[in-house]
Amino acid sequence: MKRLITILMLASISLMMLTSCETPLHPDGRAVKFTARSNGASTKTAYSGEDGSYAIIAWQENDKIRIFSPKNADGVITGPSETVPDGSTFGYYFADYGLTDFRLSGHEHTASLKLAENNANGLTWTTAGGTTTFYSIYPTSVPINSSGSNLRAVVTIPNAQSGQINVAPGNITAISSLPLVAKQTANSGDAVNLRFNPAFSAFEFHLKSASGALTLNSFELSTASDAYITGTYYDDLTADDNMYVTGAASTQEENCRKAVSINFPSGTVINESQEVFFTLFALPVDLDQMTIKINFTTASGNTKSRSLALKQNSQWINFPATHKARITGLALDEGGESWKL
Amino acid sequence: MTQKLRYATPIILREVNLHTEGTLLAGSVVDNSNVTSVGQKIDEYDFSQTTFNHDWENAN
Repeated sequence: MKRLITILMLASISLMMLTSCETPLHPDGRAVKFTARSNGASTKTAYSGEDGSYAIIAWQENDKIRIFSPKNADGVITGPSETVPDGSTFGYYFADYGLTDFRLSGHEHTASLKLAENNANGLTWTTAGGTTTFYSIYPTSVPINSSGSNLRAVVTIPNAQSGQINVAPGNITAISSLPLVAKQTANSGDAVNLRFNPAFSAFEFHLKSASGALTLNSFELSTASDAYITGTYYDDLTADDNMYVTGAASTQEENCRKAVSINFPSGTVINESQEVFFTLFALPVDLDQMTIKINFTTASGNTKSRSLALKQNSQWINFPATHKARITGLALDEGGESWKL
Repeated sequence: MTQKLRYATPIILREVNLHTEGTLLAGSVVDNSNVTSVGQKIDEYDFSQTTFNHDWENAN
């Protein structure tokens, strides 16, 4: 009897080992990789240095991304009202991935994907042949829903911003809501390299004084055009072939504003040699008719507001969508006595 | 007389379903998949140059 029990135990252990070590295979015979869910993963957009005329936006440790596709595992394109395997009627298949194996080439930062288990509802890459289009928006905190047959991202460029004053441009971090978007159509079995472009614009100002020591109070960037600078917009990813690379307009805005402002910390002083620099973020649309307005206090205690139209050769400067405008050489002129309030 | 030979392709792993706690996981094969952040183009505007506007104005 003891021998029989021993044999049964050994057989059970062998079965358990066989089961746990088995590599699950996909119907096409290729191995499916499962890795542990990365608990506590966070995503945020951050500048990470520069290369030539590009700002590097590097992936961060513990980053994760969510990739969508309208094709199910049978290669069938679903619609927003169809039920996907997790029981929802979202209509798009998705899976979450952790990032690993980071490498930088010029201004492009690349990472490999590792599947984060469970956070998936049937996204497929290669099973059905033909082509599949993948979409992704980063960070994962950007709300995604569906509108009609479109995959819609609800993106917010904050109306209230800090300017991250005097933070070196390459070190600006924790920009929690600024999005990157990617889209790629791939043939079955091909390598997929989703390329993420900024879906926001940036304005970096360098400001000094042309009139001795001036204490800065506030700064405002505004536009007289029809465009908005900040607010919430809806990006119908599947309807937009350019994905903001060329500055496509958003389909709808709400709570949008034509001006963005920051307050300087008390005691922020500029003079002819000492500048202050800061960065403001804007919607991914072409912007022109831009004016800056600065409220400041002179050495004699007078508080003033002065403005400057952002023009070159007497023409409004057009700031392209998704770019970073680095505006240097601004020398605040406090004006004559007649400007005193 | 011609003799026909019939071959049958072995059916291996044709019907494999992947389940975990009743939820179908993604049939994801990610071996060759990467994500690349392409960076952001920087345009320089040097307002110390004479072509740029220097006419500061009073503002409300």
